[in-house]
Amino acid sequence: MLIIDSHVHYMKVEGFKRSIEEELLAIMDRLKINKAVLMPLEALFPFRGVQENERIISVSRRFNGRFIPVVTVNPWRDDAVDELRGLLSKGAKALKLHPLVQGFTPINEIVYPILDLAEKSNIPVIFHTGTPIYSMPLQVLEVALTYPKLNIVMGHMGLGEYWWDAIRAAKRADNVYLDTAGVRYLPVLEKAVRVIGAERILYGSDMPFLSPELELEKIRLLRISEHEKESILGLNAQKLFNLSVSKDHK
Amino acid sequence: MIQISYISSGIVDFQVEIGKSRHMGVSLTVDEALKEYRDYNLKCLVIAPLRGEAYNVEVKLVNERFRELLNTYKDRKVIGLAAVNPWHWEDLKTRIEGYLKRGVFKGIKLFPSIQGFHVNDEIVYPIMDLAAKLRTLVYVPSGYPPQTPLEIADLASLYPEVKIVMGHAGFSDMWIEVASALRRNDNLYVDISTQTQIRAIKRAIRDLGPHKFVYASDMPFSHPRLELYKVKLLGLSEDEKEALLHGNAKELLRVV
Repeated sequence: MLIIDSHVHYMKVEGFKRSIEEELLAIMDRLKINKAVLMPLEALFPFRGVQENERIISVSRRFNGRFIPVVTVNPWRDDAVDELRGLLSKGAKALKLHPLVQGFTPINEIVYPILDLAEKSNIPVIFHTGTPIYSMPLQVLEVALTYPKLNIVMGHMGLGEYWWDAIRAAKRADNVYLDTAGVRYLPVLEKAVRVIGAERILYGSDMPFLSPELELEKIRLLRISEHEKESILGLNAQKLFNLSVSKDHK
Repeated sequence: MIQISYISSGIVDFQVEIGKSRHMGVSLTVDEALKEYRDYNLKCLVIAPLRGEAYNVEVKLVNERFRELLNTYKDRKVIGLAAVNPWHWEDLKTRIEGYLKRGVFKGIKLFPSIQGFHVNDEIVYPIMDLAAKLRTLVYVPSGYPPQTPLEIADLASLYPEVKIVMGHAGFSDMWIEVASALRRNDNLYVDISTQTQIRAIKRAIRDLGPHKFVYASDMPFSHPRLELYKVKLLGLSEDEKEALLHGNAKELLRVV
């Protein structure tokens, strides 16, 4: 079965002895995860930036498509659009925004110029959701309604307590996708499938921050059809990120 | 599916919610919960009413229904927590005290986020006074406000004679408060159900010792297969596993 982890962080955790990418790949091989959508972490913080973004792009090139490179830019910076344009030309496939860490609410027009570019470039934008006061699903819905051609992923689908807002957002806007990383309750995922169908739900693990073993097992335990599980585990991400996958799922 | 052959210890599931609720449209019976443990050495299920109406509009009725339910499982490894609500305490207190004194329930459960109060609000004090008088266990789910781990710890600091178990180890991002909360309060314990930040749990067990942690499934919101798999991933010693799965709960509940 094709498994694409739509929410993976480029970060070192306790126990990592080799490079981050080698450790992540080892986990992916062990758990039979074909591809990972690899997101920056340090680059979210204002004092880091381009270096980590470019490292992620270079890692994705080295490992033959196993990693889908995601970058971030800070909308407060005057050069954010130019920076994003440059990263896209080097191979970035999606944009990650973390409104809480980066200090903006999604409904602030400050973010529009980079969203304009993302829309023109036809790349998905992944928002962290679920952490007040920014990063709230209904704030991100405003973005989705303003940019109906832009595919938006609600990372964590509202996380602990805002899952219903995330489901409502996906119900109201067809360009909203929900990733399952860190969702605690099985009935929440089952309800999301009942309300919006499985086609816009993406398996994500938040690894190495959270446990990919548990996050995968959660999907397997859901009381949904096998086809719905397959869609969530990989087929939806393959379509969203426009990925070609060989017959042996490489 | 993961094969769970590494669990040989007896198990106490510290939190299973029973009933039917409009909240997430879920339901669970005791028999359904017991069935999930048919391949394990289950010592006891600790059940409480399913979250939702039972903790507010139906709180005056739910405990009587639960009392009758527990009567049917007298020999079969099921003990119960009573639902209490500080807004209805005047109407509830006499009956709850009677239940606790007669051993019908082994503890009480508060649900601040459904009931509309901060867990450390003074409105809770009369309930805690009774818990202190009867040395009754108090269970509170933990996570976002109004029931963060440090808010629960604040309550624990005022009632050091009351054992308090906070459910879900901070639930989501509030795992960040769990270790600090536990460290300051000898009477505070935690169940690790639904908390998937495994490294934080591991570190807390390493730093504080395993005696403050109990296993729970939080059915129907999580599942024993997932929660027991988590126990495996924690990589504990046999003694630590035994404490988590059974020994600590046995101490807390003094019944199994």
